[in-house]
Amino acid sequence: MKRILIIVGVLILAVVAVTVGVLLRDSGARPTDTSGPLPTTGTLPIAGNDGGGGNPSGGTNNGNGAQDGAPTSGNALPIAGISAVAQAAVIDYVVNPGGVTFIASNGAIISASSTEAIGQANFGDILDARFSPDGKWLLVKSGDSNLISWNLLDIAKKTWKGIQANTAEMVWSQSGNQLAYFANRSNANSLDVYTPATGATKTLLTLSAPDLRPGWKDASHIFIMDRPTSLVAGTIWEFGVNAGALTPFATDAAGAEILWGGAKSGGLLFRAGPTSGALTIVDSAGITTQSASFLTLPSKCVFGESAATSTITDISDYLFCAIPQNQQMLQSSRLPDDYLKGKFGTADTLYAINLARGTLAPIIPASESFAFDAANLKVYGENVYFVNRNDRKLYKVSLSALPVSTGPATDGS
Amino acid sequence: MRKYLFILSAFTIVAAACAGILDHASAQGAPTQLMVTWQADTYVPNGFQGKIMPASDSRILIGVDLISLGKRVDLSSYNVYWYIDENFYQGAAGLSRISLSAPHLIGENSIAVRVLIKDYGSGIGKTITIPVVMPEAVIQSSAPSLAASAAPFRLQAYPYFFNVRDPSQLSFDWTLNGASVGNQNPLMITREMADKGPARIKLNLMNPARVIERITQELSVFK
Repeated sequence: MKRILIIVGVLILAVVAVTVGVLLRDSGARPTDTSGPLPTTGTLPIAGNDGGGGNPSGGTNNGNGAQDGAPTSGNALPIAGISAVAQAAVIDYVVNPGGVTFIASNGAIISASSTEAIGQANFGDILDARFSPDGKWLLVKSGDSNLISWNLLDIAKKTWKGIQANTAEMVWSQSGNQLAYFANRSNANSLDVYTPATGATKTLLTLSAPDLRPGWKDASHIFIMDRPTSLVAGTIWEFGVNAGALTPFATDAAGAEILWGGAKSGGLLFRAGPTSGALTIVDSAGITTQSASFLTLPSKCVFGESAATSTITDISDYLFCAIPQNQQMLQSSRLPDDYLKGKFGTADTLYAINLARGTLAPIIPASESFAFDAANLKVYGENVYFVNRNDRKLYKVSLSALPVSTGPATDGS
Repeated sequence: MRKYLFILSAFTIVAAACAGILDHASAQGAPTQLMVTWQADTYVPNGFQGKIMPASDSRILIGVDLISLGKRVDLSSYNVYWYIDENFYQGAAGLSRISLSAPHLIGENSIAVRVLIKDYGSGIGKTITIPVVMPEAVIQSSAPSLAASAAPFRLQAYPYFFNVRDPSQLSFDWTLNGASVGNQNPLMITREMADKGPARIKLNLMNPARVIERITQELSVFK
C-alpha cells in the first residue's frame, strides 16, 4: 500500500514538473513584461474626428490626383512641441546617450549636436542605410538592383568594412549585434545571420521558397514573411533560432506587416483587405488581444518600450502612431501597396495610445500649417522622432504633454 | 481503496504523457504544412518594400518547402508535381523550385499553381493564386501645384512591373494640353509652358520591346 502511494506521489510530482516546465518555456522566450498584462480583448478607440474627411480646401497633389488632406500652405514651423532636428534630407538616424546621429542623402554621417560630419559613405548611389539600434554600426546599401554592395561603418573606430552578402535586405536585431538576411543561392535561399563584431556569418535555415524577408521578434526568434501586398494572402512564420523550429504565427494574412514591441511581448499586426485593412494587437503567440478602430500602417507606429531611456514611468504602456487624418482615403486604397508605391501621401496626427488603459490622445493637435507623413518613428527620452516623407527631414516631438489618463478606461480595458 | 488508487495512478500517467506530448508538439510547431511562395522578375523602383508583381510574360520563380513538426523536410527523395491552371507542368524527385512565364494576355489575370507531393504520407498539396497585373506608373510632383512651385515644376514617373531591367529601356511620352512636351523623365514644366491653358498632363509610358506593355496616365495640375 505504501509503495503504491509513493509511486502515485512520484507521478504527481512528475506532472507538476512537466507543467511548470511548459509554463516556464513559454515565458522564457519573452522579454519581461514590466507593466502588467494587456487587456485580453477589446477595441482601441477611434482617432479623433479632426479631419476624418480630409481638408477640402486643398491637399498635396502627388501627381495622381490623390488628395491627402494636407493643407496647401506647406510646412511651417514652429509648432509647439515639434522641432526639426536636421535640415538635411535624412536616410536614417539613431538616438542614444550621445545624441542624434543621422546619415544624409548625400552620404554624410552627421552628429546633430555638432553638425560636424563624422564620416562619409562614398559607395556610389546609396540605396539605403540603417543604423544599428545601439548606434555602434551603420549599414549602407549601395549600387543598383542588379549589383548591390553592403558596407558597414564602425562608428566608434570610424572604419568601414564590406559584407559579402547576396541579398537585397538586411535587418538589425534589437540589440544591434546581429544582422539577419535571406541570401540568394543557386537553388535556394538561406536565412543567414551576420555578426559585425566578429565578421562571422551563420546559416540558420535553407528554404526553396523565394522572396521572403526576415524580421526580428527577439534575440532568439525571427519572423519570416512574404513581401506585403493586398493581392496575396500569405503566412508569417516564426523561426526559433535555438530550436531551429518553424511555426506559423499568422496565417491567411494578405498584406501582412508586423511591428514587434518587446516590452509588451506583443506586436501590432496589419492585415489587408481588398482595399483598406485592419490593425490588431497580437500576443506572443499571434493571438489577437485588441483591435484598433482607426487605420494606419505599422511602419507609422512605434512602441514606447524603452523604459530605461525615459523618465515617463509608463512609457512601455504606450504605442505611438502617426494616424492619417484622411481615414476615408485609406479605406478606399489598396494597402499597403498604394502607400508603398507613393500613390498617395498622408497628413498625419501623432497619437499616444495607452494599451493598458485603452485610451488614445493626440500628442500634438492637427496643425493647419505643418503637414507630415511620418515614417521611421523612434522613441528616446521624452521625445518621439520621425522622418517626414514630405521633405525627408528629421523631426522631434516632445512627449512632455503626454496625457495622463485619470479617468476610467474605455474600450479594451 | 486499491481501485481508487489504480484509477488515480492511471489518470496521473495519462496526464503526464499528455503534458509531454503537448509540450513536444508545441515546441516542434504545427502539423505538416507547405510553404509556397513566388518571385516575379519585373522592374520596380529602388526602395520599394512591397511585393513585386508579375505582368504579362514575366518570369516567375516558385518554390515549395514542406514543414513538418517545425522542421523543413528534405524533399530530395519525394516526387514533387506541379500543375498550372490544372494542367500538369513538371514533376520530379526533389523538384522544389520551378520557373514559368506569366500568360501572354492583355489585362489583369491570374495563375493557379498547385503543388502536390503524393508520396509524403497520404499525400499533401497546396494551391496558390498568383495575380498577373498590368504595369503601372506613379507620378510624383515637386510641389502640390504649379502655383506653389517656385522653380520649374518637376514631374517624375516611377514605373512598376514592366518587363525591363532598367527604366531607361522604357519610352516616356509627355503631353501638356495635348501637345508633346518631352520624352525625358523627370519632366520639367516651366511657367511659360503651363500658362498656355489648363494644365492637363498625360504620360504615355511603354516598353518598346513589348508593345502590349503600355499605360497612359493623366492628371490635372492646379494652376
